[in-house]
Amino acid sequence: MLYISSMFIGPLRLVFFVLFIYIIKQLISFRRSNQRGLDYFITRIVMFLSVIIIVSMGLTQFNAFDLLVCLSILFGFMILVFLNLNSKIPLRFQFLKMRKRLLIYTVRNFEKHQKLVRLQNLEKKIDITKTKEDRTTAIDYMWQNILAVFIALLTFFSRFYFFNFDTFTLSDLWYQKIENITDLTQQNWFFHEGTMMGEYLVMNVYAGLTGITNTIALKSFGLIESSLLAVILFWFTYKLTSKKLIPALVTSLSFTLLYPLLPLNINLISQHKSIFLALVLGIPAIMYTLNPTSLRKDLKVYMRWMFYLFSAIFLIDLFVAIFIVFPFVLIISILNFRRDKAYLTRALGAYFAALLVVFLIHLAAAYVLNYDLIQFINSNLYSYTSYTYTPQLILPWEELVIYYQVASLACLLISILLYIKSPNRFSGSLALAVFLNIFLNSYRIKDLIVDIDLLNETSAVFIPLLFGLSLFLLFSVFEVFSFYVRWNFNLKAIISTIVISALFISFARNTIDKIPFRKNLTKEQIIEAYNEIDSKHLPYSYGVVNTQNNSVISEDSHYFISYDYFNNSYLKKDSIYAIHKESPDYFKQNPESVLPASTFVFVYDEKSKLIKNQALQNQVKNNIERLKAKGREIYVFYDGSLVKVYEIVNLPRQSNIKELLY
Amino acid sequence: MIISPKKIIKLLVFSFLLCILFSCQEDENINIEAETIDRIVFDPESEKPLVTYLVNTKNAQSVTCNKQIRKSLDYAKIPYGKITLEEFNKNALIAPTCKVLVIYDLKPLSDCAMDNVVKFVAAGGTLFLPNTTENKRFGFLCGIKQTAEYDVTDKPQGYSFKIPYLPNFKNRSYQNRVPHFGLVRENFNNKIEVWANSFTDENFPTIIKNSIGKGKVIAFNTTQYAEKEDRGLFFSAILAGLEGVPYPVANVSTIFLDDFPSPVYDIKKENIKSEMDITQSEFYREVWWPDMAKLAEEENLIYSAYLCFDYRNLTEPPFLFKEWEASSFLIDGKQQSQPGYISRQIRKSKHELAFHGYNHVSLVEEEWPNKDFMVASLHSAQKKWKAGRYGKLPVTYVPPSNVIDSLGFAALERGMPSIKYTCSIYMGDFEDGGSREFDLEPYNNNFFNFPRITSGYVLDEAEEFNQQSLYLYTGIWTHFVHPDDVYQVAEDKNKAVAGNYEYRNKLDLGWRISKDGSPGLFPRFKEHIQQTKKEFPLMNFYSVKEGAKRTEQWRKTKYKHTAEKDFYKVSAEKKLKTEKQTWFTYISSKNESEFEEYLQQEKLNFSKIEFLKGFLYTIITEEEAEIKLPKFSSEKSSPEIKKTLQAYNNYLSDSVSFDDKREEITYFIAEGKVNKAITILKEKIKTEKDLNPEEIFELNKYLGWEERTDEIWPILEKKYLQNPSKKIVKTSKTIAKQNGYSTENLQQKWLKRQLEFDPNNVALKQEYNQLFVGSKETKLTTSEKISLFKNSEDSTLKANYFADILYSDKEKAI
Repeated sequence: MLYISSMFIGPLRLVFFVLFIYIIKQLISFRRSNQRGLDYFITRIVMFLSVIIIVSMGLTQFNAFDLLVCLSILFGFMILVFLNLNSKIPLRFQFLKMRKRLLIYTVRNFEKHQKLVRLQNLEKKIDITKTKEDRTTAIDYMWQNILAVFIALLTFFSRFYFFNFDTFTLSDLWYQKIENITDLTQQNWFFHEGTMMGEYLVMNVYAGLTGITNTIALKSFGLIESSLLAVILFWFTYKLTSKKLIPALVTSLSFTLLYPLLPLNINLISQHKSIFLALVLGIPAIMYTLNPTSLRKDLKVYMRWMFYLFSAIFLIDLFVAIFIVFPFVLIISILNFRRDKAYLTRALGAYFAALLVVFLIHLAAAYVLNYDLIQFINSNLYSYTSYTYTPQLILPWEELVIYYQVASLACLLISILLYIKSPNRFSGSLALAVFLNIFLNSYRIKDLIVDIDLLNETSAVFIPLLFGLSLFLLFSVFEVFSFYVRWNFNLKAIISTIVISALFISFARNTIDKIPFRKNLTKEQIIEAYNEIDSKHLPYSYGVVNTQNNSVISEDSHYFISYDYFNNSYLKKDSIYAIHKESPDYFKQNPESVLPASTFVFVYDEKSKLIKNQALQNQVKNNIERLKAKGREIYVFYDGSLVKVYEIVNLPRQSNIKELLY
Repeated sequence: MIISPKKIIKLLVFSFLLCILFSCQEDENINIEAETIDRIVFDPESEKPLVTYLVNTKNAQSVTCNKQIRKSLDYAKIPYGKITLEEFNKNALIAPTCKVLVIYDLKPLSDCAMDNVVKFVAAGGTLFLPNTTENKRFGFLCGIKQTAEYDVTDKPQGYSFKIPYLPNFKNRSYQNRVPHFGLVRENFNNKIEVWANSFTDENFPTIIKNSIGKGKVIAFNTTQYAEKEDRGLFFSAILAGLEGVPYPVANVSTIFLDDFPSPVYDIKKENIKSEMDITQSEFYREVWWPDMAKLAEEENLIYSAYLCFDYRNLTEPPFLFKEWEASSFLIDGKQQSQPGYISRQIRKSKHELAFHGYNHVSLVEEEWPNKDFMVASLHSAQKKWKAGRYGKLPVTYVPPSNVIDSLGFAALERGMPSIKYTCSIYMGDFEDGGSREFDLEPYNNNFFNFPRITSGYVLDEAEEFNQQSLYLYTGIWTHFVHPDDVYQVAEDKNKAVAGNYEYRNKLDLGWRISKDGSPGLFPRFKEHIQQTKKEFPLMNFYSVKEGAKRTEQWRKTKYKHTAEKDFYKVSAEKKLKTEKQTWFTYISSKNESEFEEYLQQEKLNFSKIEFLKGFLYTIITEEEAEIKLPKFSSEKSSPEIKKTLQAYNNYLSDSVSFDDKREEITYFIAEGKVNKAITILKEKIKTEKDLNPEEIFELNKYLGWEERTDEIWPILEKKYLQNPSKKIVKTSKTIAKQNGYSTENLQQKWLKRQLEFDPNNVALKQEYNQLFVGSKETKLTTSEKISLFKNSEDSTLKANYFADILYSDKEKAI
């Protein structure tokens, strides 16, 4: 995979972007945030995603969706948050106060001969020398971050490995998805059958932000999504189990490595999934319902943020919003109503407000665009694009699910007992156990109104949670009988991570042979060639001759020329172009005769089995030879074992970015 | 233990009730299990059969024939019994309830068994012989001349029906392209009734009826292997012996619209391009479906439309709906998927929306990488069905190309569990998914089969034969059409689409009107529907879902046959869920009026159609599935049996009997007994008033063989004296040419007689004068001599004539 570098560049740039924002925030902010460790990062990532989705959706309605506009608005939004303006106090007064504060700060620094921006600003660590508790907390936050990075990397690379079995690339579904991403650039948000557009928007922004092509963004986004979700699962279990490391590690590493126990399509494991992205927001949303103050203490702010969060979930995946998040929020509301009445009523209010707003927006859009809204909703609840094929499972899924049902029932019974003993500590466990029971037992319903394949995809996230919860409850039972052994935290973190990872990897390795798929080399080479072309040439300075399917890749990037056109008309057009090449006036009067600066022609080897009509390919080769004979500048741009790409240079040094610059 | 009198009374009453209960059960199937042969399940044999098949287990053809006959009787719920050849030869007993006996081959029967067969027929029973055998037993029963040579021909094929052997099949034909290898017409006597000749040779009888005693024999003059297609032919023959016996039928007719709704393309194709100049999607939307929907309204039809989402033949997931969604059009101001819109329209209508598959790849092992992908495709289809709001999940399924295997059924069960009825084809090969019965699917008993019998807008005779054949014993007509049939004209480019089947528009017709101005597919189809409804006015059209449900109920219901003194009763053992029951029964013309009087009197709703030597009645009973019809068959008579048995024995022995002298002469000539033939022929000529010259010539030929040609003249002499005529003289002249005259006197006598009837014959006169001294009457005039001279080409004769003229009249000679 020559485009491996591109696959890593995207995520790497994204990490740099996050670090950049973090550093800026740390430099300009004096206040130490209440949220530390993963709490800090996850809350902000979740909020960033929610806001960017909502803002971008709004922008597409004004034909204004563009990365720059989007980031500008987001920047403004961040400043507003930073300024923390109070709507009850006159703005003038507030600004005057800020100016005064800024002047004092500047004057003071001048007087003290200190720089305005100092590295000291970054140092907002906990003073570990103060108390033993502070020291423990610091170690805890450190390990949270270290383990999060480890989990993210492990998930990224393990998922990356599964590209060897990938059938997604250049499949029907792939083309459909790439079309969705480019459609957003065309400002079309509404009514893409079977999908909400939130995830595509994030992918579009990701591609723009990191400067990679849409094809690479589509290919690598699944890795980022899974990595993020694995970290979130770790964080969620860690918080739910009152900072129990092993259950949290088991949960996230099960999601990452235990695919022989999860109903995930192994051939599509690296593919992005809207359910996963929705759960990246949904699981924190559940945590914020369970532990509201971990988001915001202020009730109004809490409700506003929950509203953003829920709206974004609705805009990413309707199934998660309706069938996962809502039941969970409802269960928590029932269990913790007495304790967190004020927050829970607001959480529920935020959910219904989000539901109403998203529904009304779509209703209005359906009215304006004259679209069948019910059809659209249905198509989202029954996803045609998802299916279940799980040869890697150690047992048939129908059997496995019975074990999970039994396990969830056992968890429920233990949770109830522990909840009775200590309601505050085990309310989260009980809520999760209740949900898991409902969720897993829904498989028993014969005429299920939800899509079983979506349920399976969601299971791949909740079964690891079941593993983590079971372990936690087991530990808790031991604790009751005083069997629990207290370890040194550092030692525990290192040993448990190594042991669990090693166990899971060795368990999963044995099932790889069961996977009947292997990656398609032809498709790999096509992607590679496109990446080469796209990354080295100016947009719309060149044309690509390829099969009709691939016209989607050309959208918003370059001109597409079909084989039919190339075989039947290109030579004629080339002759006209060659005759009038030196007379620009001719082309002003006849713009249709202009050829792109470069034309890239894909030629497939017979062994590639991609082209059924080999005669058509032979004609393409003949035409290239004829053009060569006419003296056109033609060379092999990409030379794969199954795919060759010829470049016909019509205007030298007008397409290639390097040539243009130097 | 002391038993109280009260208890004894109770016990007696109980025993009595028990006796009554068992004595009332006319046709209980006790201790007999259902049987399965070649994946066909059969109802248990009856202890009181109406039809008995004498099966020769050592003869594969006898076994196969039994299979086809038994299954047709199963459908009609007619009590069936089977006797093996060994059993019958040992103990030649035919059940007293038996009305029709079927024997494939008479040869291996013992003499005693054969006598009993003859007695059965003579007593009024019907013997059905579905196969020709070249032996005297067959000869006697089938009206073959005692002297027949049993000449066989391998040329004739097919059937040309002289009577309505199947409803609406009088003077129509059925060509199955298999040679009969049967006996030529000359073998049969003139007393037989020919019900069908061969399609290729009108002088070759294929189905004959021969009356013997009070009974009849219906025989097929063929040695063809029994096929499923022949069930109707067999059943019809059996029905001829079951006059007045009603049998329950499903009365279910269904029309399948295969591959509709489906993705459509904006391309113009022949023959619609020349007829209407519209695209395929426009044709489906604006012409085909409105026409079909209108026909359904007019004729009260209910369609079952079998949708198929994709035609790209993808067998690996994901299974998307690119083609389905791409076929869009603007309706009600909305751009909508055309097939999706039509699917919803169908859901809202009286018609059924059913399932043809996610795509058109048959659910068979060879076509898919693995079973899970089959299931995945079906799951995708299921989701689309729900999301597209196409109504409740489908209940009936037509396998793509009518092909499915056991793996496919398992996938269907998992992937689309709502499917209960699978609708492949009734004919065809089992391994390819065809040859299904209206029974549980042999590969997977979670499905009930509801196979299709005919297809297309224009039914040829073979298709119509199949339709009538199946309808006769089931009351079921399952027919399918495709919306794109009109495009599939007989051109090479359509070969791939047609596959192993015939071109669906082989006649190159248009939709409404054809290029040659003749009606298109639609009016022809409409006419066929109207004609069928006219033939069977009580025919019911249902959706496949409803029709299959009714069929399943009918198949699972057991019926009891009871012969009462004056009536024949058939009733369902359980009350039916459906409120009405349809029955068929055959009534001969002679009993027609009496029967109809009875039906009217009982206020039964009925219709009739010409069938065999009478009518096939459709009768509908309300509420209870029970019918009671008057009996028509006569009682047995022992003198008739005795007489027939005697005739049979005579036929078998050498005591040859002839129908007439001609047959006798032919027989003796064939036997080489020419003298005997001469005697009989002489006798025949003698007794006949008028002389038949052909017979004289024939006699002369035989006499010639025996070198007794002289004997012909006395016979001619006698005949002449009896009745002098020119015919006899002329005959004598031919005989004289062949044999010559034996004496001069004889010659002079007959020449003179010739001259008497032909006095102006100059040549004859001359001949006579030359041979004999001429009289005045025979003397030639000079002008006659001149005429002879002129007409003669022989120079010697010419010279003689000239000399004669010169001698009698010098002047004229000069």
